[in-house]
Amino acid sequence: MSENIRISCRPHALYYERDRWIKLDSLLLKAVLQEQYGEAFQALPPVSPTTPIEALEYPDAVPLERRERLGVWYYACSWADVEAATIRVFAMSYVRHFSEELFRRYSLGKSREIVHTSKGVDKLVCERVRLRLVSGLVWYAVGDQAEIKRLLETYYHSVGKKESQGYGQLIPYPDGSLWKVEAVEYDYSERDADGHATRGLPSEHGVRYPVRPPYYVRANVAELELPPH
Amino acid sequence: MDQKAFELEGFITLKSSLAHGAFEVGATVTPFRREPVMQRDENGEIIFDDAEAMSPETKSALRAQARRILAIVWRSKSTNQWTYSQFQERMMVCARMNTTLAGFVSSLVHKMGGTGLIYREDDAQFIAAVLASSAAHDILELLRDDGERLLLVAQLQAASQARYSSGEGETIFDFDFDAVQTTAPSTRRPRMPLVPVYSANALRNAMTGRRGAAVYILDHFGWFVDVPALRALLSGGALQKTSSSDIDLGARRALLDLMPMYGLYGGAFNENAMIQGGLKASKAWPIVAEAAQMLPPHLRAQARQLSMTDIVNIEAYSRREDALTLVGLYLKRPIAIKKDASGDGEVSHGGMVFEREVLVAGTQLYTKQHFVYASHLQLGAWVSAWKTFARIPYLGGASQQGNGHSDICWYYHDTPFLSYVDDVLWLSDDATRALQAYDAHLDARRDELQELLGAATSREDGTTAADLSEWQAAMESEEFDE
Repeated sequence: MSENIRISCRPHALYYERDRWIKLDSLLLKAVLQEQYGEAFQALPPVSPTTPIEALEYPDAVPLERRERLGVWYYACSWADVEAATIRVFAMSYVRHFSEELFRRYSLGKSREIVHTSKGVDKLVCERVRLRLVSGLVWYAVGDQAEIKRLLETYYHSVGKKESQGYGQLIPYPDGSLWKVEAVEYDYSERDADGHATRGLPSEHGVRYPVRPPYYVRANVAELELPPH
Repeated sequence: MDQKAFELEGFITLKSSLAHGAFEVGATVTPFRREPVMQRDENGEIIFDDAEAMSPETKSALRAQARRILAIVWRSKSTNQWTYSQFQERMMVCARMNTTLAGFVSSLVHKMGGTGLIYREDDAQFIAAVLASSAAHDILELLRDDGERLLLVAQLQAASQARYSSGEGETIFDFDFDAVQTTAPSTRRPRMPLVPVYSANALRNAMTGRRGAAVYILDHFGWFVDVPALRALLSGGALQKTSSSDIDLGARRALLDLMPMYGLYGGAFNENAMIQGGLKASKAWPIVAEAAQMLPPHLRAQARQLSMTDIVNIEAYSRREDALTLVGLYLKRPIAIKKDASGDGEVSHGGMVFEREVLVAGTQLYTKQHFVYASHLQLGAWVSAWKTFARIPYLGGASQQGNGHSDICWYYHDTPFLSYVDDVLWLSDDATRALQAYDAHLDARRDELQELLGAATSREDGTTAADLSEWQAAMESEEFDE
């Protein structure tokens, strides 16, 4: 059952630098694929920018309406402008270091064992990352409200990069839920009330940019009208 | 437990103060790792800072007062060469670590090597009036703000250069910098205090996570392994070129089946493609008012009763060169030990006082870990990491000095799942079953694991794991005999 939906969440310390927008259809597609493959999902081949279009899967279980324009299809789901939502950017660091005491304890004790800590795979790293404080992220979509809520609450307790280390952790709403998915009367999944694009829309004289997830795959690039900055 | 995804909630209680540095400043002070947290009220609405809502005139007046205080401190510093960026660093630390402006001024002078304030003209009356006024708190807030601090130091530096180039005396400090700041925004900003936080990277990948699970396997069999295998176990390994760029899906499945902890924590395992881990950890937030909105709603009322200033403390240590006490005892030849050594016959005594910001003992932290499609064996691997933690129950830095001794309780939907309290590790039935299944898996596939890791039961010189822990076993048996 398709209906107009507004989806929002409030991530803390978001690590997201890839581009200007966070795309929810991408998150939902991944959740559906995880559900489809279960434990085997981890062992699937990674998708790279050069993965051919035939190797990509778009299950019907993705709870978003599909739309088509100029022969290009896409999901009816807006993009959240993370740059505009950012209130403050701050730097944080994390360390990856080789544990000398554990290496001493468990190594084979060969006569000549040298670990290079200034270069190569054992290099000591103090990685500085730029994290964003955002007031909240909002998407508009057309799709199945209950299924979207279920997928997001099940698979996403954080968003953005390095989420396994706690970056982009979602702040619970007062009712305890991490995602707010509500039905609305208007459809802003493509254009807002002022007529501005809220996601990339196929256009004859646009810029070349990916139109559907996975957004880093070159096969998904089409000529698009992008949302105004 | 749900097959698809489930969550364990953890409550950490500190039994000794926790040190968790952020590598931000010089060697003398290690502040606790902190993050700005946007404050929201009970309805989730953003709280705006009153200080930020000040009129431009009020703010400009506060800036002028702050600048004058900083100019007095700069003048009162020691005669050592200090740079303005060092000054800025020390300001940051002092503003963060003091709750009053008076405390800020005195500790900043101390950190800049001064013995006391040096006054000119009516400076003494000015300082006394500012410290007693209601603006003192606002000035301290101003100094805590990153942008304002940079601006104030830049202004101070510019004033110093202006004086130098004009050849004037030292007493002039009336350059109107706000005239060039007319475009500065006067909009309100959300309140964002810097809240102490224990990183999820440490919880997930150190002895409480990946490394704990790795050490469990090695100790389980008493194995020694080569460096690449250790790297894969302890930190997930590195991406490496292999003879073919193809990805062998069967081999990936077989690897994940054989090593449940690889699938749980993820990594590259010296192969040509990454495997995403199924475990997502959250940072551990102290249960205090400033972090309340990061906590689940049922903990927020409790959190609002405590402020973060109540749980942060500064511990000071001194380091003193032993040579001072050993002169004449063990030194080969007499040598002069001075604070500032020069020449061959003198050495510096290198004594110093250093401070460390810590969370006080008794503080409670809340964290959670989210498992996506974790198998029963992967859960067993996770439990095994806590078995290792139970041997070395410390979090954070400076554990060699006793910092970070902790208790932890993990809950699954309000039901205790695993706990380590008062030196006793307790496993629920679910946790026990998962660990037993994991142990059975390790034992059943011992040969395959040994081949994968290239493990040996003794070192090249014949040392075995039993030899390494012999003294420990002897000590334990003595205790037992008594």
